[in-house]
Amino acid sequence: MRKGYCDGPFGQLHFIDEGDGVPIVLIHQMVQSSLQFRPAQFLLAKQGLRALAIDLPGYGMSVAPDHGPTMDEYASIVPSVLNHLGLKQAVICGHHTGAAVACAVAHRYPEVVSKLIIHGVPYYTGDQRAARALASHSTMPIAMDGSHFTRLWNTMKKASDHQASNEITHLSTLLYFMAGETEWHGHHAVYTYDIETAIEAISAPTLLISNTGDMLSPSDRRLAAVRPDFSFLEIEGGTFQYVYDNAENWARVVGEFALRRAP
Amino acid sequence: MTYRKDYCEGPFGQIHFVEEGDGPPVILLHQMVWSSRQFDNALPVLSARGLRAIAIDLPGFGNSDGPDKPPGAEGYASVVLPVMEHLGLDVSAVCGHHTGASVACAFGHAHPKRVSKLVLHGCPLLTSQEQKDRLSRPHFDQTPRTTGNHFKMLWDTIYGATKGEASLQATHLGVLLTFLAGEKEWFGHHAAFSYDMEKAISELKPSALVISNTGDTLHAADKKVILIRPDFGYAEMPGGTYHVVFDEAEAWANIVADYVLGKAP
Repeated sequence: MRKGYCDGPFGQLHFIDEGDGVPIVLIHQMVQSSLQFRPAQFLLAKQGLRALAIDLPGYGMSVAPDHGPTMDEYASIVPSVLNHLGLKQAVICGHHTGAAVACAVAHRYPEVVSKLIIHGVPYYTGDQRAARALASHSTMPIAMDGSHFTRLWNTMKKASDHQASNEITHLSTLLYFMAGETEWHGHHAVYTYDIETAIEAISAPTLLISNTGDMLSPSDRRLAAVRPDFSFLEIEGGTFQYVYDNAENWARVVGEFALRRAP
Repeated sequence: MTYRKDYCEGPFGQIHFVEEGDGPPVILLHQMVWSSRQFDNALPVLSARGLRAIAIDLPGFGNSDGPDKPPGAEGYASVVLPVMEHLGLDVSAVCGHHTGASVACAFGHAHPKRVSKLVLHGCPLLTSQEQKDRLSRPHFDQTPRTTGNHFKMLWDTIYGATKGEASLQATHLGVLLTFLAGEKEWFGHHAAFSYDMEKAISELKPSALVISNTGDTLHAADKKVILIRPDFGYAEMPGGTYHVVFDEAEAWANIVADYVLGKAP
């Protein structure tokens, strides 16, 4: 496991690099960081992959941009990291908001994408996006009695219907507050992104993973119907913290597709 | 140089550090449990004063890899030289706060020729009985509770330790960094409380400045350092808490800059 920085369009980008072999770029959901993949990354490396987990700008240790980036701007960091590491192509894999970033990479930089893996895709309609973009950001100002931690903790637990582990809820809480005042940038990018156009344009072999206990499961099903040529794998149960809480199964599924020879 | 983060290799794995500015270098060692983030507010002031400020994440804190067992003050100090070599620095001023002051002292003791000046703020110069008492205290149990109450427990501890006088921002960051350091966060205090600082202080060769703030838990210990070493410079800040480096960064950084640049006291 090696951590490093490279220069990107919005300042320094931080990444964790583990393993040797076929490169796979892991793009976290926002608000989290590359640490979302810590258990999975190790397992992917064991399967013979070079797993590269990138902190998106403003998350983890990557420098925050001075504005809320568009989805295409988030995507532009992936070629920077690959170029820094001397890699021409990689499997691009993203979860939730990170799946939207992965779609934008496949749309704007198809030459760097050997395969695409997307899990829990915010494949919202234009109306859904507009409605969500209007909602104000939920803010968690620091309270004198420290209750802001408990408030966020309860929000996270509730979002998973109290099914997510304490460990990932803990990590998510820490990462949310470490991201600071611009933590909403990632969601903002999703709500202002025309993902339908990007999905139509994707030409890379694609695996769509979905788990039925995830809030984005209905959106995954709509996407699977729009692109029946994508491999579609639906897993029973789980939460939006599946990647961390079910790392073993997740890494197995992802590893198999990443390493599978072209049909 | 504008603000930049980087890694280099060290005895316990990768060492993470941040730097800002051009000029004479000053290496900043944070109190444990914190990280280089303790100097977030001080870095721009130091660089504006014409210094090259380099803040290191000590092993196991911030983004630096950590050892499996408590490394002691000398063990922590062993990461300073690799950073200096990496940056091509023959000598540097070295400045540490609280447990970071123990580490700075250990480095100055082991490598006097590599240290232009030392700045020590809040020196954990405790009697062996005080050290024993501190070492026997139980460690905070970081296990995440289903209710999320572990955050509140740590918040109350940190906020309570400053009697509500530290900024909410510092308390908040202190909670986050303690949990991010994980269950081995106690290694840092263990180093300070098992270190013979009195011996190191009395033998120190580099010239040094002691900074002390009167509201700090270690203010009395700082006074002891000055008694042992009347040749050291002394600068006092009124009031404040053990978060004074973060909360009163401008005043603090100006004291450090004046000393490193040879202007006072």
